[in-house]
Amino acid sequence: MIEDAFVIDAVAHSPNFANDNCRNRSAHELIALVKQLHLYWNPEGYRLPEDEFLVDVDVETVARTLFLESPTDLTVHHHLPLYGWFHDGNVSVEKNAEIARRWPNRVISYVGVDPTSGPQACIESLERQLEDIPNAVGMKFYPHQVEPWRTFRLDEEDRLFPLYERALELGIRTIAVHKASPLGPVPMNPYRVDDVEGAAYAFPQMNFEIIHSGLAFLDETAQAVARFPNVYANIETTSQLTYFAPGKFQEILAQLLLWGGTEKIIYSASVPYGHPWPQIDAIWRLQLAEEMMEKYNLPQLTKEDKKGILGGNYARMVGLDVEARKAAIADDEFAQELRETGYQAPWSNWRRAYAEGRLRRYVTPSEEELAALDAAGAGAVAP
Amino acid sequence: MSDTAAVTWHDPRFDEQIRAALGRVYDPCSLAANNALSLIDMGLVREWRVDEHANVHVTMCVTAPSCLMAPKFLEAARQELRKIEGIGSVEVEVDPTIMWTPDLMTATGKRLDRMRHARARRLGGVRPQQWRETERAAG
Repeated sequence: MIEDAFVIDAVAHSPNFANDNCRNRSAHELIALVKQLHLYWNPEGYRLPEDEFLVDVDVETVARTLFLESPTDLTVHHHLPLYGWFHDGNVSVEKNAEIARRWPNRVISYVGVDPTSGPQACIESLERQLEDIPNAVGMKFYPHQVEPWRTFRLDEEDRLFPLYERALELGIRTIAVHKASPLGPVPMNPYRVDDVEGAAYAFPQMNFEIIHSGLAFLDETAQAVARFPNVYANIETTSQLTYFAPGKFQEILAQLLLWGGTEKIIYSASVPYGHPWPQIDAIWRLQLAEEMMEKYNLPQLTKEDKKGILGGNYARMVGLDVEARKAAIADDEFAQELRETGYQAPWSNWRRAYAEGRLRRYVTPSEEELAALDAAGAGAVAP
Repeated sequence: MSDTAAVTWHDPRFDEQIRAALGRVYDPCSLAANNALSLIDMGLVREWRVDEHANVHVTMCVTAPSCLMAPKFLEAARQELRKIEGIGSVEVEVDPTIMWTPDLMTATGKRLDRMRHARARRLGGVRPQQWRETERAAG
């Protein structure tokens, strides 16, 4: 907690960047992109060296980074269905199940499926993942796949609606969809948000989180959260702008506040792309600039507003009993260690795991190796 | 009107198939307005007759005398009707004396139209934090 604010980080990952997990050239291009994201969007002192960042990280390192190096109380861990790029989707179903099993009071789970594989395959994958994580509350989508290129819209009645119906039957009440931030040199169109509205209208009992809200299509995102009670702006990565481009962050936040209201904004640290501590700290200290308040006719942010952004809004969206969770984690292994050590140095747990050889490294491939991948023409198949 | 319009005897055996065939052709303007309605549901099909040789004659109207799309959907209607097994010749005409009004729409057409207008009103226009009104309305 930061003061009396219960902090829920709404998106965390445990990625596998090991070379043998890369399916194709697109995977290496995406890795180059996320490396830049980590190196440039974190403030000084919160960046890992490149070779230490690009690894196959275990869930324990991610959990320790979140709960021992910042005031994060709970995290939402996603299986990433990036099957077009990575053999295991980048964050495997196994890691997602492991972190859910080991720290059920600290971790909220989202399964992940690739809607381009068709409703039947998605439903089967969803059911398989829920056997391991029966208390998962959400489902993660990416807007397209690569090699071969294929995409979908959230409002497709044939391919998507049967999946939503089955998900609701199985207790999944939230869809988190990556938008606004293209995954490498790919077409931008699937990252638009216009398909959220038709899905949100047809399924009012399902919540839709627009992940990376505001990095692009801000007007459309703001108007979607304005109109639909079940559409939320998840500011994963966007909140890293607090350091990288603070004026831009103010502009985005002001528009989301005007149109959606403070209750529609959800914080995520995006570990390991961002470190949680500077983002939580920045949001907790955040004051809207006079210029923004005047431009958008907004009152100053209150502590209650910020408590909502840092966790209250998410808890309300998924119906989480915050007091029960507070009690459940008050004396768990992380709480005990924190009492002994205080907040640990940024990325200290990650660097220790790396130094101990527990995290497999990524090595930038040569052009010959990339050409070999191209020649292999590895197609993507969802597990 | 052609001579066949004067036929008064009607063979009802093909009625369901004719209704289904014309139900598969959509009014182009309704499609353009994102409110797709078939020729049947729009109320543009006013009458059909099937004579003793299974020749069908359909009388239709248009929503406005200036309709430029009529030849297109009349031809689409003919093509669908020709697919009916056992049907004879197919004739589809517009009767320019019929004045179309929304009252001519079928009950299904009116329901779809109302529903889609309500949706359009909800989707169109936006006020800051409009979702609060929806949530209140939903209780």
